[in-house]
Amino acid sequence: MSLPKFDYQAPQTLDEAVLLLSKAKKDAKVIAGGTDLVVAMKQRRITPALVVNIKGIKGLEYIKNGKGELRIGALTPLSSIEESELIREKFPALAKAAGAVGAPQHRNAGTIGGNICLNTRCWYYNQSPFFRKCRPVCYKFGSDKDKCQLFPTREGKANVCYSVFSGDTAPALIALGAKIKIKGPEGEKTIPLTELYTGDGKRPIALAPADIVTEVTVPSPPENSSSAYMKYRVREAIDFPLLGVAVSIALDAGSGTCKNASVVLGAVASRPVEVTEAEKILKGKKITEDLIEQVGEAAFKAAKPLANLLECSPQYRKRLAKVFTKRAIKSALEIIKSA
Amino acid sequence: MIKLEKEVINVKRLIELIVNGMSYEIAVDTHRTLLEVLRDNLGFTGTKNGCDQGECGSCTVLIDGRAVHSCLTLAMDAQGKNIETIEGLSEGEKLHPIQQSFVDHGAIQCGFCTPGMIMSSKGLLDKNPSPTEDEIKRGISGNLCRCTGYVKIVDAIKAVEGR
Amino acid sequence: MGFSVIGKSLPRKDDPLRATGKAKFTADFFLPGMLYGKILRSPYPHARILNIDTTKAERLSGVKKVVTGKDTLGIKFGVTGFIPPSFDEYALAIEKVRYIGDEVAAVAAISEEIAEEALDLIEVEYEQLPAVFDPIEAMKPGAPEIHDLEHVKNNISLYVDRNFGDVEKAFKDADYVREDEFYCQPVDHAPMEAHVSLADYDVSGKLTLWTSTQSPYYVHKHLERTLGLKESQIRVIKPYTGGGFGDRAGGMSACEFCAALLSIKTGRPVRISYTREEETSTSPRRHPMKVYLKSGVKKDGTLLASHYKLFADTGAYNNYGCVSINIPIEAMTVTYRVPSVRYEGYLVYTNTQPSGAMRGHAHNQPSFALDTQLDLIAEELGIDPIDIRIKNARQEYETSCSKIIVGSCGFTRCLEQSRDLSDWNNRKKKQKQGRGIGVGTMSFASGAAFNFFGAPSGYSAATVRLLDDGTVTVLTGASDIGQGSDGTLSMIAAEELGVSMNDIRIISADTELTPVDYGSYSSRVTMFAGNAVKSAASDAKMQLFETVAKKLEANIEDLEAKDRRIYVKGSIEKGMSFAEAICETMAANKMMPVIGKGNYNPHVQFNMLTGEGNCTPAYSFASYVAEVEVDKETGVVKVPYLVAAHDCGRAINPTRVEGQLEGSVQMGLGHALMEELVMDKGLVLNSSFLDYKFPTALEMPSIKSVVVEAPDPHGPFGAKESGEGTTIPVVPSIGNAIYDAIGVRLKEMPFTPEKILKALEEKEKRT
Repeated sequence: MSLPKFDYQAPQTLDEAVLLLSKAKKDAKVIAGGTDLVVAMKQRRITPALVVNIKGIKGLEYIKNGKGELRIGALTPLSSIEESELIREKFPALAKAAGAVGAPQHRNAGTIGGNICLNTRCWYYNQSPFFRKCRPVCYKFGSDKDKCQLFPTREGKANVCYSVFSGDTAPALIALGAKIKIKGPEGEKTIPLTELYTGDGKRPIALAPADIVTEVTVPSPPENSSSAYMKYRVREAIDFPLLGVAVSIALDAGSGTCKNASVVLGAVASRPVEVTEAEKILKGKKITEDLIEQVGEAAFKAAKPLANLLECSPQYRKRLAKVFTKRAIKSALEIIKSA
Repeated sequence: MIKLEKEVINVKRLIELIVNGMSYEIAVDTHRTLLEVLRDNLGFTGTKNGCDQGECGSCTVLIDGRAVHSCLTLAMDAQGKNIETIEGLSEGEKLHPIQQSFVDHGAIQCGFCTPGMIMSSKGLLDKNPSPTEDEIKRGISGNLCRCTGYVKIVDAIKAVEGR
Repeated sequence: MGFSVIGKSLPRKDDPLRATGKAKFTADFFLPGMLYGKILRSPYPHARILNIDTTKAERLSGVKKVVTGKDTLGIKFGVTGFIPPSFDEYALAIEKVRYIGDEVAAVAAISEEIAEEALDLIEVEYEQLPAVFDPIEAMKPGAPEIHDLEHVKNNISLYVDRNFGDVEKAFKDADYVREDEFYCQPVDHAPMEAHVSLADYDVSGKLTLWTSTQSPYYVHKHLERTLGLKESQIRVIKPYTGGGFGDRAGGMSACEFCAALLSIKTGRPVRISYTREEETSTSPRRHPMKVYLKSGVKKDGTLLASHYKLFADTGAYNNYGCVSINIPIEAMTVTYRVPSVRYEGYLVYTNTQPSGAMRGHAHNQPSFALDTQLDLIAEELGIDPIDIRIKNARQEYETSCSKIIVGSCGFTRCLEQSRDLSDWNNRKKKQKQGRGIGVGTMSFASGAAFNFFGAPSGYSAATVRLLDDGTVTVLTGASDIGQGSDGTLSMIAAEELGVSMNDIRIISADTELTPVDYGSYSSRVTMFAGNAVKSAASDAKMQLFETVAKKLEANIEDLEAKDRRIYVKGSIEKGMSFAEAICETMAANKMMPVIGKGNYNPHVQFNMLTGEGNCTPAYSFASYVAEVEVDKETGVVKVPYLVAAHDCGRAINPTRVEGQLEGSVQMGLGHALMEELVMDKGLVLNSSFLDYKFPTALEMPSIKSVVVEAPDPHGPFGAKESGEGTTIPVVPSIGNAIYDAIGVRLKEMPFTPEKILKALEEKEKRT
């Protein structure tokens, strides 16, 4: 199916891009790798009047080990992150997550900026124009007055969209304490990545129409720390996560007790879900099987998926949250031990 | 008076595409994908459309050496970049070693996924001339094939001469 | 036997074209003035069409023609003409639509985008009717009537009840009887190339159609009937085609019909390319089936009786269904020596996507039931699963209870090889936690000799023309859809004529040029077209022998054709080159071309009334052993290793046979673990390659494929089928291995992690 028609601009500078976006009267969309947006446009889920290609903007593709932090340009392809020796060694969760996105072709085209801004997914929403001829309109697709067809709210109540955030790198980055730099009409700002997500499936990404993510920064991990990312999907390639778990753990060099721990779940809600209990359970303690079990239990509780993916039930995804959390913790500990 | 019909009423842009080392200057609608332009405008029909949504890899081409889905790439975005398609690999009757290996190992059945599969293989081998079996499988994991079960394809890639 | 060509793993001559992107598939043709077609489909599962208003669509600039059912002759079609009522489908709906996706109208426009836009402007007034989506529900009194046909009651399109042997007595005699219920899900063929057809109706009144089909001949015959054209007005060409697996064996598709009709109406070439969504959700799928199986055995494991009940969901139309419901008899009576079988088959209409033939056609479902139940029985009786199979395994040249004469049979050897190469005996004893092995088996016809159109003869015909430089042109109607028949048939011709494969040019699947061949389905090509080509080559060779014998004053019987020479056996110098022989033969016959004719028309007798007798001259057999690894915490199953032992008679081209085995393993693996068309009230929800998941390279096991050769006297050089039956053992071998690994028995496909966890929980509750 052909793409819908749109006006196209390819600015050479960030300022120009922001200006174009802020001047756009109708819907404008930023395109970088295009692996998410082009499919949405072919399915006529998104039909922007203007597409602004930011790939031509120089200086947004880099992986730099700066003072106390890793800096990744927003246009850096996922495959570069997956292959970066530095990231593989110091930020294994991020390398794993980047390498777990889609298929090699998606990772070659797709950028880190695009992956963290991935649109949410739901079997009822990610469908074709023909599907929409056969079924009532979806709330995420339609107007604010349209009802969610899978989980309709009671009369008089505000609609909610529960579509699933299905990015791989975001949970890893959040577990690693990442921040992002955003350029907008009012200038530049830096926010914790976790604030990028609204939790509202209809408008999942907290960016203003003329905002562009320009950089991701991750604090350098302390000594005696590591991270891991585990993903469940039916096939080992192409598929989006049905569950993702990112874990980052730092141990005290002397005592071996846990200094910091972070567990973040993907694909269980409209945003990445931080298992805040995890640090409470582990901090200051020697990590035992029993404690890992408790964190798994906490992940189980924190995961509240709904029946909006075709491949498996929410109960199963919840159950996997526990199993994979435990495995991811063990994997991170294993790396620390072997270092 | 003859009534003229235009295929699509849209503003066309003049762009330069470099395909297999040749420069093509063409006018395209901004909403065209690279796949459409390669096949419909330039006649490079070796690149196939299997799903049109970046889910099967049949349309894989190399852009600046990296395997990508041409069905998800805007033609506008490919301007000035080095695009390699299946047609660019062989020289006259002489097949590229990857192509020859696919033929020799029985890695081709219907041949529909083959061009994309070979482009993914080239992207992989250009970067990593001696991949392990697992790296090969990962390298072609975005290319679906319904005929071969991938076994002979993996064999063919392993055996590429001068890899 | 010393072969020169047979048994070598030679590439097809045109494989380099496929490798370089030069091979032209239907979508790669652009004709001057070509229009693009699109089909309007029903959004309702069951509705009456009250009115169709095409005016707005016709007014759209760039639209050249809109057609609906009214523009057709209103002739029904289907696949199987030998059961007349089975023609139940209009290429464009008349009065009613019966499933979501049913074809309502078609548009030809100057671009695909305009054609799409025009679809939205066609106004169709529907009256929605109650719909039914489950075959069991559809059979209940009061269920919506999907077809108003005299012979159809309770939506049962066809019911067969077959009795072979004395089933009642056999069950009485049995020491152990068990009953189980199984379910096989709907799955999609998912060929990489979606349906695409390009029609060109020219001013001379001739229709040329390039189309992605498994059977140009069937498409030709159906176009003839439904368009009211003469056979000589039509030419159907199969260009390079991206797989089939039964998907394009269904006679004619709406894609083909609509392209042809639009071209006739506009006088311009029209191409229709299905989207992946159309391909998945409107072209046929494998029949979802409920299978009930009751078996009776003696204490020692000897099978005495089976009673099968199959409920096959044919969807909105019969397509292949009337064949599908008849042929499972083979799976039930050929693989094992069971002396009495009762088979009841129900072919039921529902308001869902039509079902058709698919690789292993209607055998996979009963075979899954039988192979699973055999393991259950073996366990109950304390017999090893492979031993119970060897005990009951079909032997060569036996007659089954259904009066099928089985020819060559290497089944026992397949079982033994798969056992030995998988190290079965050791692994059975000491298996790691969560690891297990299982066996699955099959027999399959080497081509069904059904006569769908009542043609007088010539199920496969071929001609071979010898050129004066010693090269050869083979003309065959057989369709290479990827399986490699062009190569196989070239090899057969080369072997028979004693030339090299490089000397053979093959022209195939073009109904204007090539002799009649019914096409690539029911795994018939090597047996049928292979024999036809062999006999045509032999006919041409005998013409040369006559000349050479005269020239050399030798006896014809003493001549041999080998290494591009024809000579007296034993003395290679006493002879002449193949090219010389051709020139001499032409000279001796007033420069008449040397053309050999051949056909294959096996004398098999299948009794439609009783279900007894052969549909095919020979059967292939196989036994697979799969190893699985089950993650008990997640329920995820991995298949690291699989041994596939297959009796294909003789491997004309071993690499191609392995390719069929390996491809079958991938398909079977998908069916076992992940593939399923998910439907909501008749609407397919996973019609993309992202959502309809089949295995990537990363899911594939390491495969050890073993070719067991039991040459069959009917087969060309002894060859039997390879490619369809080879999918059948995969699912039960994996299911049985899962049981071996974790002790849970899954009777519903696919074996998803959730079903495994649920079964594990139930097992824990029990213990």
